[in-house]
Amino acid sequence: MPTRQIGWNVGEIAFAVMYVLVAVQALVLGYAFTRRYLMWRRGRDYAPIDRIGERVRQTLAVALLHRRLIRPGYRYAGVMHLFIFWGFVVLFIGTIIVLLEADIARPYFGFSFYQGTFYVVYKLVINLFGLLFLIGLLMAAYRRYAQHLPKFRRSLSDDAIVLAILLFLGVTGFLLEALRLSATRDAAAPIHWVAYPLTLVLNGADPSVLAAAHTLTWWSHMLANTALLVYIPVSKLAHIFTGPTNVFLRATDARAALPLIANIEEQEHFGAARVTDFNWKQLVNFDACMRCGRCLDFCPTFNTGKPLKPRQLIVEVGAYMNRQAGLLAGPAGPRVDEAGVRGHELVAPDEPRLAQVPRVAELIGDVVSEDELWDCTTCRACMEQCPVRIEHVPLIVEMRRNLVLEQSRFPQELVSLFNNLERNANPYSFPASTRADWAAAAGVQELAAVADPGELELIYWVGCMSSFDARNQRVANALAKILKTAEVKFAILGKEESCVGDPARRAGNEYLYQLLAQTNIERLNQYQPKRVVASCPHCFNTLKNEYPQLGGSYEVVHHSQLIQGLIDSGRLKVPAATLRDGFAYHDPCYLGRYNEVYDEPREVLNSVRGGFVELPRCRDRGFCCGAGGARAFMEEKRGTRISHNRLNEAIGAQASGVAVACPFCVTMFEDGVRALNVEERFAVRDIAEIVAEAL
Amino acid sequence: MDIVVTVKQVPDPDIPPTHFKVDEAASKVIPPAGVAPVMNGYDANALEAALRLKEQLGGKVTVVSLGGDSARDTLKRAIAMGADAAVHINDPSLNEADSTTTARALAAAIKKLDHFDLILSGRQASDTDGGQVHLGIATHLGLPAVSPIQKIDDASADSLTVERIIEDGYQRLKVRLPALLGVSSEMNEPRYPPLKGIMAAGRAQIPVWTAADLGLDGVAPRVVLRRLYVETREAKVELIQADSLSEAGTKLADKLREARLV
Repeated sequence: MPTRQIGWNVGEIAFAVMYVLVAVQALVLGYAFTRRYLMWRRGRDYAPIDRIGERVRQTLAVALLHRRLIRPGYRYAGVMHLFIFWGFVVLFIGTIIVLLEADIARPYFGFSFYQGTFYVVYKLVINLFGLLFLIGLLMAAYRRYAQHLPKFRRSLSDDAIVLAILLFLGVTGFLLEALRLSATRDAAAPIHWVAYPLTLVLNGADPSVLAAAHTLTWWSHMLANTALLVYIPVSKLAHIFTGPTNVFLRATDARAALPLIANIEEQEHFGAARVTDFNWKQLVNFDACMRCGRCLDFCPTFNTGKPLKPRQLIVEVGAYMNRQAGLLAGPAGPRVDEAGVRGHELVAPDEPRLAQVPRVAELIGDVVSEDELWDCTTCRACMEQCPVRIEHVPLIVEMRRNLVLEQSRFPQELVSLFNNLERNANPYSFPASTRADWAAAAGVQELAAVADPGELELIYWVGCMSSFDARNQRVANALAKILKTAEVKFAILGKEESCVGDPARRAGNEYLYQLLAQTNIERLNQYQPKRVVASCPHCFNTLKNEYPQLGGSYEVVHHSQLIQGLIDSGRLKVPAATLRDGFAYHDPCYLGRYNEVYDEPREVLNSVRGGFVELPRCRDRGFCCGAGGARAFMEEKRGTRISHNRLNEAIGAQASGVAVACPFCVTMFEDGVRALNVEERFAVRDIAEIVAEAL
Repeated sequence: MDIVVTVKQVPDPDIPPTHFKVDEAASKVIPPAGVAPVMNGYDANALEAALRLKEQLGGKVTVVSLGGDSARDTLKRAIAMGADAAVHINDPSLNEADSTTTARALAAAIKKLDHFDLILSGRQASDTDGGQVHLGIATHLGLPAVSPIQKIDDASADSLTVERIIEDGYQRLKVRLPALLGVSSEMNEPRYPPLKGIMAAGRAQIPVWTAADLGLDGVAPRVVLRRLYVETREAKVELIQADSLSEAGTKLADKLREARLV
């Protein structure tokens, strides 16, 4: 009857020590995470946790199925973590099973299940997962130390310690099995199929030597296990608890909208100047990071040598938060100087009296530089890839809000942006009265002049760029031509249209955004449109996902979705496409990642051009053009140019041009094409222009 | 240091030139449709300079403006930026006045204020580009005036040092207070008002004074506007036809000589 003597060669005292150590581990973990929880609660209040069922489902999908971890571009890393995670979990469950057998079933219920078929299956499975555990760890060590990925250039001692302890535990686990099997000459040795080869090697040795080695291994395994568990709260392994917590707490609704400052005129304090200004859910974000670096892989600022590196921002604010709350960063965790945070600093070393005054580091300025905050294009590449759903963009905007609304400290270029938005309802110095001038020439009507607005199928929301910028007026004209050809009854708001407020909101000027939004919402609510189509993804996103916060709910589509719908339904006839010299398709951030509209533009290109070039960094991994986050209105002085990085990718993919669906992308790429001197062989086209050309 | 800043509300100078229209019969500028008037740019520079001096030395910043009802918005903007108080002179007999009358009115208003150490004005208004009013104020108040300036240094309760712009450089002058300075745009970049300021400005009480309050009944203008018009210019382009660049150059040179331009 296959079974094993639980606690063979382990004395009563050893067992007693083991239980004490287990209790110590539990206390340490409980204490450490309770303190962490209390620290999070020092953040501002937030709405009560809703949609519990959905949250639990999402958390389980990420944790158990590794839904966000195994995805295109990360198959190796995802599977590696899957092995480590499930290996550890199954080994842990294995220990619980032994505990149930030895401490509950036998003494209290007088029966034993840890034998026979159960035991055989148990051992087969445990050996499998122990092996997967070790394989995963070796894959991890290879990835971090042998593959020389840019984001792992600065590994910390914490990374090595974690791998070392886990490997040690895995190896000593098998060693314990093999030593026992050899020393007891267990007939059922082969079912322990991973330890079995080692058993064969040990078989010839003196049983007393084996027993002594077993005792040594048992103690080192127990101590290593204790070390691991008490190390968890101060190392990156804290993500075991903080990661799923963060996934659970993330915003489940309107994923694409920034949080609203309600009753803004009555607020005394705006944005985040101190760590406790964030709400408590946001504080969990800073603790959930385990420095995997996926946020850096497609980040436009990291990849062009700019100060902003999302991982660094999260880790540094996390370390700062832990220090503010009096929690230790840990003996091997991100040390103060390694993370680059100054913390308590002497004022002036050469002035002894002043040197006694400790200087407290400020969140904005010391921990996070203003350059980092203004670098962000809000493209969401970081949030999209983060396995534990850290929400970098709202955190950055929260700090921008403090700089703009409270301190009035922001790049000089934004002053004219804000002034223009206030005076002209557009980011430029064109008077609002000229907004519809392009439409007069194109024969497009303004809503105010339409006799029966109820007859209109949709309102075309033109947006500031297509209204005023000459290059983008061509896109508006192209879309107007398409709509006319498809006999769609539409009109534009024209002079009654104001900027949706996206640049103001992203720059942190929530007040100006709300003023603009309220003007637009009043107008739209008067007209009650059946449908709104926008040719700019920023307008599209704000109208669709953010206006509901202020009482404006409309059915909004992007022009790529509309065109695809018109082609599909046959209302728009396009000539059969023959595959022509390939245009690459660039996913606009606010259309792709923000709203998951990846397919419709591609289908349009397939219908009209017979195909397109898919870039390496595509869909949810698309590389930003550099204009989002109000950056289109600021100068790019640090690092290399984001738009050039993207264009070089397209040129490198042998594309003859780039098809886009956003006026900002058009502008950035047109400028880039001129700067890179490739105007002769590389074109930039909006998909509306491509379709209109084919008609 | 208590500072008075004079501001004027003007039509937005950033509108395209084609939108600038004049009613010749009435000799008045037609305000462009849908574009709100703004604080005169140089006055914003003056206000910014005042706010920086206040941050450095403490004291109070008071803003004074002469204009119609809409000028109130400009005064609120000044308070939003950080001014402590504002005074609005609003009287039909004064609102469209010439530089001399405007200077008298503003000087009379400033005399009514508690106390001031320094007056900062923009060097000129961007609609009339007269540059006379601030010098007139100084004359009426018997103050030394330095204009246009691009920098203020070494400010104290008694004096300050300024850089005055001249044609080929600048002069450094030490000015004893009280005095009046005409500020140019090279001085600074006016700040964007923080939201708290905008909220405070909304609640601000701004007293309105008339000609009677200032003792200025029946003031006659010194300057009469005879005609206001937009000069029309014709532009003609003639492209030199030639077979080569050097031939084109020769032909161009000949044409310029014929037109007696070279």
